[in-house]
Amino acid sequence: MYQAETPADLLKKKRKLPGSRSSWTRVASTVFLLGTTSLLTDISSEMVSAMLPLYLLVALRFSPFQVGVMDGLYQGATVLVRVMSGLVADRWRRPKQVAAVGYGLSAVCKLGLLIASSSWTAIAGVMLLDRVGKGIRTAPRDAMIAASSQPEQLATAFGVHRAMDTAGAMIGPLLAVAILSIAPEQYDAIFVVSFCVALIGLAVIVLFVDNPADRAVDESEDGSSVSQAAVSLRSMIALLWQAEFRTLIIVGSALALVTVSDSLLYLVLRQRMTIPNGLFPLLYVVTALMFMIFAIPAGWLADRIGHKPVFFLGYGLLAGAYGILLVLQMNYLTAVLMLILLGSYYAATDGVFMAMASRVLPTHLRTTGLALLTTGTGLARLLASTLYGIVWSWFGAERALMIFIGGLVAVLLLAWPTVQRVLEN
Amino acid sequence: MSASSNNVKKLVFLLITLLCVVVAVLYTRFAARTANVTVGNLASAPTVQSLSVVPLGSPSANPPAHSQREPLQRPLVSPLASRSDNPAPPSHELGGQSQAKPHLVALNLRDSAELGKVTLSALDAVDGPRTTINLRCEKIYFAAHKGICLSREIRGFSARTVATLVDANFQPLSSVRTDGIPTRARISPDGRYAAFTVFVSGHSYADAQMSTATLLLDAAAGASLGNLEEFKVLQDGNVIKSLDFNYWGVTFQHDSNFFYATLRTGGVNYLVHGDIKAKTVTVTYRGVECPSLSPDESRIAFKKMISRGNWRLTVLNLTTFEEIPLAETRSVDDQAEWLDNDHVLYTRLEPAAPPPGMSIMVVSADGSGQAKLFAKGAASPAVVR
Repeated sequence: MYQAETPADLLKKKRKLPGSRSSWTRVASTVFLLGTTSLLTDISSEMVSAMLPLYLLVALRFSPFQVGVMDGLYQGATVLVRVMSGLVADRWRRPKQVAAVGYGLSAVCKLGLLIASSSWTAIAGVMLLDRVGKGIRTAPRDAMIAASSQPEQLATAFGVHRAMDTAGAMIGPLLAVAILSIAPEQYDAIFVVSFCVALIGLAVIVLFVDNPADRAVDESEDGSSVSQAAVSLRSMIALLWQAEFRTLIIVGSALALVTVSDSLLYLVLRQRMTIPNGLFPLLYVVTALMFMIFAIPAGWLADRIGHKPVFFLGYGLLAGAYGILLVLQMNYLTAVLMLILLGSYYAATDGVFMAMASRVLPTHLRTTGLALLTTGTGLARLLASTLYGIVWSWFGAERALMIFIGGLVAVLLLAWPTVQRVLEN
Repeated sequence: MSASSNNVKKLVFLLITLLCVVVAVLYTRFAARTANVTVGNLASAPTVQSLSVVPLGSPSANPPAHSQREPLQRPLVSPLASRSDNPAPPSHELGGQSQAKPHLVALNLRDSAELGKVTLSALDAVDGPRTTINLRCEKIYFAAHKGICLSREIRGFSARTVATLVDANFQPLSSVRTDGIPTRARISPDGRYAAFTVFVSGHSYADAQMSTATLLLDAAAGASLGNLEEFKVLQDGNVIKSLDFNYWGVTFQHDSNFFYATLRTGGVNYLVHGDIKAKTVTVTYRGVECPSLSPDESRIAFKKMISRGNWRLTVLNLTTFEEIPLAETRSVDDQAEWLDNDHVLYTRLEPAAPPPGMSIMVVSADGSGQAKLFAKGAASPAVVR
């Protein structure tokens, strides 16, 4: 049985925090602690992944084919693990421990890279484990953010977490560049520093984060208590039949399917204007910076005016970014404008979508539900990249982008009334 | 939770953090010191990993990073240039072997101590003794007393190509740097122009998202003439415009104002005929990659894509546009070089040999016979007639 939060629940919680308004300073300390762990872990993993292709191609003299295979591993690895970890976390009611295992695995992998040195299979294996770690930790972490936040500031809480997470993703590559400039071609140093940073992040979650207590609510409200047996494969499948959740998963995946991956978008941009190689990483930095800056305001806005309008506005911004790329004469000004839109799209959709889902998911299956959701969108994104690659080589970059904009607008127009209807009821 | 257990946790956290920071800082400092030692060692015993240009006769204490510190565009005509302008045949007394007769300039992949260095050998004895020049390249081309050597340098996270023009004695004259990984290089038969191609994104011609840049150099006056993408593209008398022009594999005519190259746009590869003074290229034919013009200028040897990552070495007749697939059945990813009007040289990967296992092969230009080994453990052939 499913226990979505009823208006009565909301009222009750509101009473606990009298006069609480959505303000990011009132976000639970757990969210900040989880944000700190994410920040440190992202510094750790981004400093490695930013220079990994170079390390493989230049230091280890891998062929581009091998690097390509590795990229594929990167993307595909997390899918199965996510759902598994979601089920385990829900069944044991130990999202913290499951997330910590994920963080720990990724930390150990940094040491693994140091040992794997020049064997292709060893490195591929270690990177696979690293991604598995990411797959394990994501859903329990998001479920904990949801559980430790007041419903009326759910989106703000996710915004705070995403801002911290993205900050880490920006600091990581910078730290790697700094290390490489102090110690040229000493990739070992990057792995060691990366491991150390990850370890601090792991310490934060292990020592200071507690499993959320809101599970007790289910039992006290129901009387019948949601038994551990209620969390099973069958209950997961039943979850897919819940109208609100099913709508979200379908809409999220459909939108992901018409989203061009960032790296492909940057390649299109590169065809439209000359960008020196040295400046290329800046594209990622500007996008991430905008994501970071707007994550909290977008969350705050979503808590004020509703999650749906902000979520759809986000995809509108994305369509705008594609439009700029397609229609305007590209120069540094228009390129920055495009990146601002792209970053704001992430800010308005990433955390907000999780907040929307957290609201419709029953508490005892929240981790599983979030895992299913990210699995669906992740697979759709993977498919979209492949699709875009194919359409690009058939019709050229421009027409491919036009097709994707068309798809995006169509999905948005179809999704809006559906989401409206289902979530209103 | 009791206050004391909270304090213990904070203490543990502080300890872990302190330990991690100390380890990270110490290790980075240690690595920085190792890096300096390694750079010092490289100077006397260069490895393949640093394919930087080591000028002939430079003191061995010169660190390999030497070329990186050069200004972006050194004054192109150095005092050495006057020597190469000398119409007298180049002396090439290097190693005591006379190179006045036709010879092969290539890169050595045979002797591991000299990996990537330029070698000279007589055309009739390519597997015999080779004269090794103290110049490391990833691509070399040589014509009319001038050579172009492509090497790469790593800057932060990106690779740059250094194109160094050298004189008849392989002394560097000037160098041009551009973002990307080196792939093709040519000098016009009269030594007036040079052209080279780099991968800006992607790493091979099999990569769907690959993007190239081809730069034209005025080898005599010493100036970059810019990217071929700035040229006007003519097709059936109309100017065509697109966002996705990619050029590679320039081959010059004897009248060096004219050249052929590959232009990819909209996923199709075209053979284009270029005019340097007019700054135009004209679409001539479809499906040609990495053209190489025969000495009599009647045919073009090129790689024809069979499927992604699989190319058949083919000769195109420029009058009849008849295509003759050559006898080499293995995939060839190289810009061929004509040995004479009847034979074509190319570099072929040898999967069995340890990396970078490559050999120069020769095959008949009329489709007959079979591919034969020309120079074992060598790459990037240039025939100097």
